[in-house]
Amino acid sequence: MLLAAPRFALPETPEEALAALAERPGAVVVAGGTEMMPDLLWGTRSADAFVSLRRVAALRGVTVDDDDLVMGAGTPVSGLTTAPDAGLAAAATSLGTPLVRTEATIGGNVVSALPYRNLLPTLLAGGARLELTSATGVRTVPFDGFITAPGRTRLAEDELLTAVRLPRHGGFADYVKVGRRNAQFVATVSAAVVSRDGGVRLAFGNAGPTPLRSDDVDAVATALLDGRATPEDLRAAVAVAVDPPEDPVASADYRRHALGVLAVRLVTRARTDGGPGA
Amino acid sequence: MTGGVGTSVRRPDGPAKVRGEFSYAGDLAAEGMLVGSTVRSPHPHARITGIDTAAARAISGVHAVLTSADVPGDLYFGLTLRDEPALADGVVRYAGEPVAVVAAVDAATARRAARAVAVEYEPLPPLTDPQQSLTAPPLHPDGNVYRHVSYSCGDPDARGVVTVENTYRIGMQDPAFLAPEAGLAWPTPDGGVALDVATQWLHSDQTQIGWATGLPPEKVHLRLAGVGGAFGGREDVTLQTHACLLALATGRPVKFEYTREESFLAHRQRHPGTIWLRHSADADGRIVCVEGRVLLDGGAYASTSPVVITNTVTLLQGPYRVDNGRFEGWSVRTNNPSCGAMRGFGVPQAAFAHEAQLDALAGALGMDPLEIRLRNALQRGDVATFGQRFDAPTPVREVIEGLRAIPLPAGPARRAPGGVGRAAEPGSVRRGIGYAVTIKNLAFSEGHVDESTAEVSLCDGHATVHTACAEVGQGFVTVAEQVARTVLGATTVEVTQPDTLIASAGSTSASRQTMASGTAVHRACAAVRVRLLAQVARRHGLDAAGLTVVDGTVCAAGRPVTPVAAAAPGQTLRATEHFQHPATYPLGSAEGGMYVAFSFSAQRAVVDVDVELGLVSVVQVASCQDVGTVINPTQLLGQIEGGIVQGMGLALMEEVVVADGLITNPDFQDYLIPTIVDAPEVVSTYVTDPEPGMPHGWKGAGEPPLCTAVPAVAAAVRDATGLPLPAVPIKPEHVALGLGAAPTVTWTTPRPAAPSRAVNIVVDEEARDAPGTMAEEGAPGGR
Repeated sequence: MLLAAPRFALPETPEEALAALAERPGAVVVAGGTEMMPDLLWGTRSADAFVSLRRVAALRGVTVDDDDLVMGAGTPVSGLTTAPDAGLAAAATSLGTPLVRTEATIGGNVVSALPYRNLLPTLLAGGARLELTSATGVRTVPFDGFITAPGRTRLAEDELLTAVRLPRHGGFADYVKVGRRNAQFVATVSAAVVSRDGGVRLAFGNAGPTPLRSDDVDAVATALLDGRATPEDLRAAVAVAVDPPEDPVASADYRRHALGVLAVRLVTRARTDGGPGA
Repeated sequence: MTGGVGTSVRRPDGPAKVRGEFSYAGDLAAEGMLVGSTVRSPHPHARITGIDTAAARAISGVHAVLTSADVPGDLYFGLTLRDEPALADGVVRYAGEPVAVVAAVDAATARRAARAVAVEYEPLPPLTDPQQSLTAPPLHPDGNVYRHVSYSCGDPDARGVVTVENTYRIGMQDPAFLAPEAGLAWPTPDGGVALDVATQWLHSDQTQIGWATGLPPEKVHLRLAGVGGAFGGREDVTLQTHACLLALATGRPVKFEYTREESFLAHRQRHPGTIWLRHSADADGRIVCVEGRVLLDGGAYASTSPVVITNTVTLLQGPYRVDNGRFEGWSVRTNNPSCGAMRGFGVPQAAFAHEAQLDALAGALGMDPLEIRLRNALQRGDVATFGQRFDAPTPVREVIEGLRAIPLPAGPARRAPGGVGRAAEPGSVRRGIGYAVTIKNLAFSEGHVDESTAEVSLCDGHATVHTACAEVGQGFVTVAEQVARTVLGATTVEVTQPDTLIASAGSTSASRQTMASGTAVHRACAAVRVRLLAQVARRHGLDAAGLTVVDGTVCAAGRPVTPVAAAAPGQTLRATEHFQHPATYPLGSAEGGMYVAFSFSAQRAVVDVDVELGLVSVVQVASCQDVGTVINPTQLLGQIEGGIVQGMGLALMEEVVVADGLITNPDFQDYLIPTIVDAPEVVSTYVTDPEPGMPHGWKGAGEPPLCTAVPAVAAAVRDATGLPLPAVPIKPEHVALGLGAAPTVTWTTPRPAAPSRAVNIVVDEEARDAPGTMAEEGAPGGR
């Protein structure tokens, strides 16, 4: 039996989850299972043990405090499609299929740490922070820099990602994604924008080995918003900042081109829909 | 009559499929069943220097491990040439080639045992470029060229005022049926073997299993298991032989069910190819001459490559009158995945190329794309470039006019290009409209015997229809039922599960089963009706010649005599009838034509394209198809819609990407097929000019919509972007970065055809001392 105790733990509280993790060195944490189960079934990945977060009710749900939208790491993507952040909602809505969205969680999307994961550009553009919980307490780290390489993060062995905090803002946010069909596709490239207080912050998916943003790009994007730069300037800045992969899906040249197009379109939307300097 | 020919009878398996209760081959199970697993080559080309199965055999729960040394019969099999070993014979020629098979008590043990089989390979350089294959040292004792065909007609040097030429590329499409290969074999008390399997052609499987097992056909018993899609990909043997060998070796039932990745590795894909075409036309747009050259990559083993190439080459002319031309093509062996039958069978490749050429001609001459097609439309009585006269209805003009009558879609698309990715901006989207018209040959060709047999019995108004025709979703089950109602007046009809207890029905492919098995059923029903009417005549003292069956009632001179259900109480009337199309002949034969029949199809695609990003949304495809007769409107629409969506898949996204002989995307995350969000609105109309010699005037309908959708969608994207787009699938980068060469347009001094050029046909084939099952069934073969 693949998923039998003691290899498989089914805790019901974060504390139980941390304890289960501590008892099982090398255990893989699963929640929705949309990342792990296909790999297990196809035999492309194995693990000594699993800690499932499916029954940890405390990790599910979205709340709002004074500053942040606080999303429990076990919140399914379907619970984010109506989030009060247009970028996050768009990223959630375009992820997989209804079945996948019902199972997949924001925590899994973050910790799986692949550059094309849907929600990541939105979190990066929005300046999200992550709550990492261990037996010794909670530390909060910026999402920017959390992912160090494809599939690798700064999460420690004894830590759980328990919540994602996305700063609330009165500005404009959006997310767009390019693929080879019109639904149910992995992003060839993607981009997110947050525009507020006269500044634009852009982030890109599948534009490099990790989700990517650049101060230089944001400076040109902000200038474009103010009419001080041209779309060509922004495209050029994006082309310099990104380092997209070359694979059978698309060439690096196409990805670089498309990322520039997406950046310009998002800033244009921010200008039109968000109002100048919104 | 209710439920008769012409009505939308519902599929008997429909409710179970919709509810998820249908039993597919993957659901098969038996008491004491073992599970099979396959050891496959990771190398596209390697010499096997050793196989050690000891460790695998030593695993508890493993019942058998078989290699080529354990095959009791003839190791080699194949549909056209027997060039493929059931298990690798010292050399592997493609990545995924079966090397050994294992049977164990459960799937996990079988997989573990498969991993424990130690195979030593000495990798050899893979030959992956089909152009190089023509001159490279042979990869196989049978050589590298599956078939080379070359012929000319009229004066191939004739010229009009304008000449356009270009080279077109078609990617490798996967049949991508949703239910992976599965089957269950068990030893039978007669010393033979039985197999329930999802297949397209029971008797071909039976023959090939017989070769490997050494059993005579009567000891190899096949039944069709629930099929979840086929599209040509189940025509070749995959797990059939392995399951039977293991069942015989272990004395236990053995089940195989492939994973998705194995499915991609094991079954045949559509041939990728390169087609060069040069069209010359006069100032009115009339085609003066066509020259074409085709190179198809057949991959590691022959499958149907020798037949597919002839379809592509001969139908390069399209549904147009071409008096002068020169055509040549090769299908060749490489270390890429083996290619074979897939819906359209060589014709989508030709159609994509010839329709791009027609648009290029129209563009050069400033003509309307439909006008140039009407001007060149084939008519009944015309002679094809390959010498066959179109002596049945040839409604090319009619399908074009029918298409033209369908209004353009009003208003914006349901979904912008890019769909849920929301990348498109209103200002960035351009609409394009493209047209395509195609010709598709129907039924087996070139002397391959196209036949079927049906047994029909009738008792108290209940008819039972038995054939070996594989129902793969195409709707033969409803056709058979409708015929039994109309011809025999049956109240209820059961179409039994196909098996090898009756003679072969041939393959469910080539748009042929309504014509072949449908006609056999019609004949058997007619024979039973004769017996029924003779009984009624005796009983009622009437003249049998004056009796008819109308709406389930036997009538004399239009007056009811008795319901069919009460005509012969308790008696079973039975008849078995055979049908075979008139003979066909190989390309170049003076004796007669290559093809049984043709169907013509016209489509108009409307697309929205985000030009900057290269994203496409197909808004609508309108179709007008020559179908002979509409037998079942709903089933027919299903074929049209399915063919269009599968064709737009090839046009826009579907491609098996092979790098250094390895498939890089053997799964549905990376091999993309259209989703329901991508599927366009389909408007379908028909030209119904009954096919002579066919009951009810029917003809095949399954392949033409795919053949036409590929060029129609490509043409629409060209129209929206102004780009040449000479390759499918059209990738976003082709559009966004403007990749792909435009046709070369040359203005020429007209040169009329010399009047007396002889027809010159050359067909080279490798020696066929070991022909495959297509030849076994009849003569040498085709579609």
